[in-house]
Amino acid sequence: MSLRVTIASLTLRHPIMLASGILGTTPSMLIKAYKSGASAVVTKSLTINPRNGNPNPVIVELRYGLLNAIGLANPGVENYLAECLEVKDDLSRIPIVFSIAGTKIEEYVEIARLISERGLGRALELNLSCPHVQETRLFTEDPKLAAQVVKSVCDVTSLPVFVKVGLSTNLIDVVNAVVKHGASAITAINSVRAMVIDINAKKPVLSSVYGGLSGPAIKPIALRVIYELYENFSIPLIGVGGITKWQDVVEFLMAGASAVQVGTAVYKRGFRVFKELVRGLQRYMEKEGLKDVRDLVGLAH
Amino acid sequence: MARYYFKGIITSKKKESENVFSHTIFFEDNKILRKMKPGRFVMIWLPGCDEFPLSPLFYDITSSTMRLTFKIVGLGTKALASMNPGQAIFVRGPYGNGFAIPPITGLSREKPLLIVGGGVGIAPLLPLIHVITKNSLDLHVVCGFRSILDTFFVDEIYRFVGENLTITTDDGSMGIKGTAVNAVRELLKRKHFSYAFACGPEPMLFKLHKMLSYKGIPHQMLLERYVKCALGVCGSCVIDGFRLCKEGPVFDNTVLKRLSEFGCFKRLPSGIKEPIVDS
Ligand SMILES: Cc1cc2nc3c(=O)[nH]c(=O)nc-3n(C[C@H](O)[C@H](O)[C@H](O)COP(=O)(O)OP(=O)(O)OC[C@H]3O[C@@H](n4cnc5c(N)ncnc54)[C@H](O)[C@@H]3O)c2cc1C
Ligand SMILES: Cc1cc2nc3c(=O)[nH]c(=O)nc-3n(C[C@H](O)[C@H](O)[C@H](O)COP(=O)(O)O)c2cc1C
Ligand code: FES
Repeated sequence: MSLRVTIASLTLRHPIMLASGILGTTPSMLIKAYKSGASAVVTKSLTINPRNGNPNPVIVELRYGLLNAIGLANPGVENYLAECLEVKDDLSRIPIVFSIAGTKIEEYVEIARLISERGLGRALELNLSCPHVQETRLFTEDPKLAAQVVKSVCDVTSLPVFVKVGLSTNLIDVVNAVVKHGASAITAINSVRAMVIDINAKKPVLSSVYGGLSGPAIKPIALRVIYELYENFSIPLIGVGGITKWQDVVEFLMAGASAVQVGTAVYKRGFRVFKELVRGLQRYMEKEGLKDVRDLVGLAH
Repeated sequence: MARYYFKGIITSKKKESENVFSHTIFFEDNKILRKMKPGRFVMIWLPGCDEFPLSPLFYDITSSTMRLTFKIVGLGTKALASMNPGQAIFVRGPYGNGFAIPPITGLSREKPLLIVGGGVGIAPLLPLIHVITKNSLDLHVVCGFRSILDTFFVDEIYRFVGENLTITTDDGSMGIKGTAVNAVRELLKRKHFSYAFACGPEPMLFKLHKMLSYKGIPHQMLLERYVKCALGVCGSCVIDGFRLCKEGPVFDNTVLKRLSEFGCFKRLPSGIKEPIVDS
């Protein structure tokens, strides 16, 4: 039985990756996630300068997921790369996808250039969709801007460029634009702009009021987006949003994703979630008499 | 009803020393107290201000109260210290693993145990002292302060362990002049401890860890890192491959010796690695 999947030039041992922003602010955790069973790991979105993120509170636990407004806290690309170089030998054996966020096109380009020069990553993922950082949200709303970012980044790197999109009304136009300008894959979706109010404190909980909703609450939405993108484009898709059980993985593959990313489920189940999902997927394939996981991709269309 | 935090009302307030305050908090809903154990921590939310971790030094289901002792270091703790009885704070948790007690199976009641606290790090050790002495084990406590002005809980701990309490101050204004580490070094010459627990500034913990490891005394230490989510997803509190908020904040000697960052590096809120300086 083969679980191997390929996304652009990236070949993965199975389709289940670690999503961006989940414990990915330190290389040590990326190594641990890979060793625990993720097929590839995505870093926290890196910015040109270090960011403290939003003041606490930055997270709310919900029955059906999480609401977070970490605010792209990260050490900045140079510090991050320096730390990666300290564990270069371990990292070089792992498919790492570097996630990039910026406020201007030039920032995306500069970060992409720095990462490509160091030769540590296997792909780039442009975060055009952080739901609570105003500057990055603009990119996902405007197809022209999105196309420009992707084109400019592709000019300075030979790594495959994934584009991470969120829930936006003109999603098809944005994806159309980035596909035309060199994107190698689409990652969908980012967390969804949302909020909660504590009725005893009589205040929004998050210091930034708005945050991003993730986890089971957004799964049907993410699944719909993947299904819709598969109908409209032939580019590889990476599904993310609320994947907690192996059945969710199968659903996303059938909707048209070639691979999936897992985020929020790590908080309930820890890194063992990767092995659990892979085992479930394998058993399902056995039961259904499937020899190649790629046969599941888009099966529901 | 959507409830994200437990609402607690401050029922009493005490100034413990120059910069250290205690609040007793009453909860209408005592669910948050049921999962407490020594070394676990809660997140304190002061709406419109900040949210930060504290380890309660006392918690009791019957009276539905918790006591927090904290040092003023910045805006959040300053705001908390300025609050008065009757005012509300919002609390989530508890989080983390806490101390494992008894630490070793078949622990003989006569075998001496050691607890070492530095500064406000003594607070999270109080429930541990309470539990251990309840089982009447031979317990020695060493507390280190900068000066007599910074001391607190001395009487409380004395009530539990009597003459087995050693106080040190850097300037000699109370107890033995020197650091808690020096006092422990002397104590180890005279007594063989079967297990040790500690909490305090990391340079102190690191020196203790080296000393205890050399003597072959197993131990657990409560560490601090910048906590954002407390749920194990954001990565802010990571030490090497361990999440302080999930796998910690208490680590035992087998884990401590594998941590390359222990005693050397902490992380800023951005995740930048910063050297720990011994002040
Ligand atoms: C598990 C754990 C248990 C703790 N228990 C106690 C306790 O019982 N009593 C006590 O006095 N202190 C305790 N602390 C330390 C306490 O959390 C910090 O002193 C407090 O957060 C400072 O907040 P501030 O807003 O006043 O400071 P700020 O002005 O925000 O920052 C000053 C310094 O405080 C620390 N700090 C600030 N916010 C956080 C945060 N969210 N997480 C971790 N560190 C932070 C950092 O070192 C920072 O540089 C504990 C810390 C941890 C991680
Ligand atoms: C705490 C947290 C931090 C996140 N940070 C990032 C980030 O830096 N960049 C990014 O592209 N997505 C980030 N995300 C979004 C996730 O990568 C993912 O798209 C989203 O959570 C949906 O997947 P899930 O339901 O499996 O968590 C973050 C999510 C969470 C919960
Ligand atoms: S604070 Fe521990 S992972 Fe977020």
